[in-house]
Amino acid sequence: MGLQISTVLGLLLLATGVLLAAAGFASKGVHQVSWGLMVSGYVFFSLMTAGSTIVNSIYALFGYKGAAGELQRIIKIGVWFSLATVVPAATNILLDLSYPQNAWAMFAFFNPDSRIAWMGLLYAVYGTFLLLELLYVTRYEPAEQLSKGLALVKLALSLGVIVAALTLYTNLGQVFGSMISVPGWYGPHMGVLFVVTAVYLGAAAQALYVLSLTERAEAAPLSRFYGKILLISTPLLLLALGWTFITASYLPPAWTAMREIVVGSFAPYFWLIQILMGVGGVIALAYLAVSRASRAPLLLASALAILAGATFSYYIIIIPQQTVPEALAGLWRTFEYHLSLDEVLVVAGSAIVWLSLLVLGRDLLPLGANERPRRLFILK
Amino acid sequence: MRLAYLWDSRKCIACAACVIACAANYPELMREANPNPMYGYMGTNIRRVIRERGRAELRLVSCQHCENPPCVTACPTGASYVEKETGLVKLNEAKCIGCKSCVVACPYGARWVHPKTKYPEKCPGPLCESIIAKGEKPLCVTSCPTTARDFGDIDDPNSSISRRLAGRRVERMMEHLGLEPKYFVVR
Repeated sequence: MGLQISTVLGLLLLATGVLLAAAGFASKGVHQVSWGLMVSGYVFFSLMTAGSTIVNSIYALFGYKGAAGELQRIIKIGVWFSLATVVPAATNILLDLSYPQNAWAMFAFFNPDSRIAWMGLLYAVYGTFLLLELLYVTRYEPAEQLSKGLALVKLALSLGVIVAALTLYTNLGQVFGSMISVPGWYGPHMGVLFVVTAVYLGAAAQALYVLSLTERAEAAPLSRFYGKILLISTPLLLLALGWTFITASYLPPAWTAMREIVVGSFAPYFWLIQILMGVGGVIALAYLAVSRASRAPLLLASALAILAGATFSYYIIIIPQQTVPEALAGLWRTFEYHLSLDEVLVVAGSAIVWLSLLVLGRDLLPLGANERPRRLFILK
Repeated sequence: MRLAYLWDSRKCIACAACVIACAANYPELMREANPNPMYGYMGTNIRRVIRERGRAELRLVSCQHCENPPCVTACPTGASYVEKETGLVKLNEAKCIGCKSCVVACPYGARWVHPKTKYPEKCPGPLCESIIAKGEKPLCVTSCPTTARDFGDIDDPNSSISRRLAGRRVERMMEHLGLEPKYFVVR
């Protein structure tokens, strides 16, 4: 197997990403706001992989093949996309730790009361299920007639991965939702908000990757499929987000933070990117993609949704709530958050690692229809 | 034994002696240009919070040594823990992974990240820990010129803190959260 130019490029990207992330970590400082860009990056990629897994489950678990069997043909790509997207999420959160080399302590000294401790355990389960599912879907062609035993394995893997994904990301929502110290986060709504956003973001990102790898003939049914998911998930996201604001409006300290998003310093990002582009633009373009079975509006809708997802993770969910954390009645203090180069390097590095994995996956893994692994159980 | 802190706001003259004395816990930060990026001033466990609206009011805020501490609940490894013998909330650095969840979880903002070691610091600092272990009072108490501060066992009715608390109008900050803080403010 000779190396393609894109494979060499992928390896170069991988090395660049690792170097950037390592340089960022090595120069990491202390900030007034404890959870900054790296945690936002982590949430962004976490939601993306969860959403992608939920989208995969439409075929993998519920057996819907699509109007022309297109979902059956893209399942390998979808599972790889979910697995590859775990890597930048894990990179961001591990490098946000001051002592990532001690991360084993999360298992050795597991604190069941801590939502973050559960994240470590659930990530291990989710990642294992995804890896097994990838090995399975690349080994057995989706259209193949399976023995009863293999059909049970398929069901167990599909069920396991979706349960792990939903548990993981509702738990992630409650990492924030259980923080009584940050009124803008506190409450049971965070888990729901995270799952809805995951579907929106995961479908959009997976659409971009899948459409870049599949034949043009697949574009029409896939544009309809992903367009419909965006049409369903966008209003749900708006509803969950709206409910978050309504909940906050009953609690003055929470509203102090949320008001910053609606009419304060974060308002331009919220109204222009999250609402105008991320809701209005996505709905209009997804409608066009569905009604005309057209690829271009879907790609644009997906790009807007990813931009809105990044805005959501940074400007709507993570940063504003921490800039007004003081809950001592009448003694409010405003924190300031200034983006630093070390954080940018880690997040950019992890994003580049992610892109490299997507490129390398296309070149090295048997993701095409009728392709089978020939080397090391997984490679082409 | 349940060790607790007392701050008598009526006696406090806002001289900041306790804030500065506490900085002795972190001599390695004395010459740093920005020793405590989270509080914006020196490496100390005592945070001055001033009400900006209406009548000016000062609060000196440090670890409240809650009976139900959210920092301990949030810590994924049990690095933050309540010491059974004293009831004080402490950190076992050997278990800490530096996730900062304890810093985020504390509603009092009583933890800050040491810019050199990157561990989440809190009251009592390392020097005060050794002083308390000898049965003495921490630096913020001994440095106070007006005896506005006290420290001791609230389970011992004869301790100075118990006597000062008896019959006084005291409050605990954000008591409604149900965290059972052991930092009493005399009003």
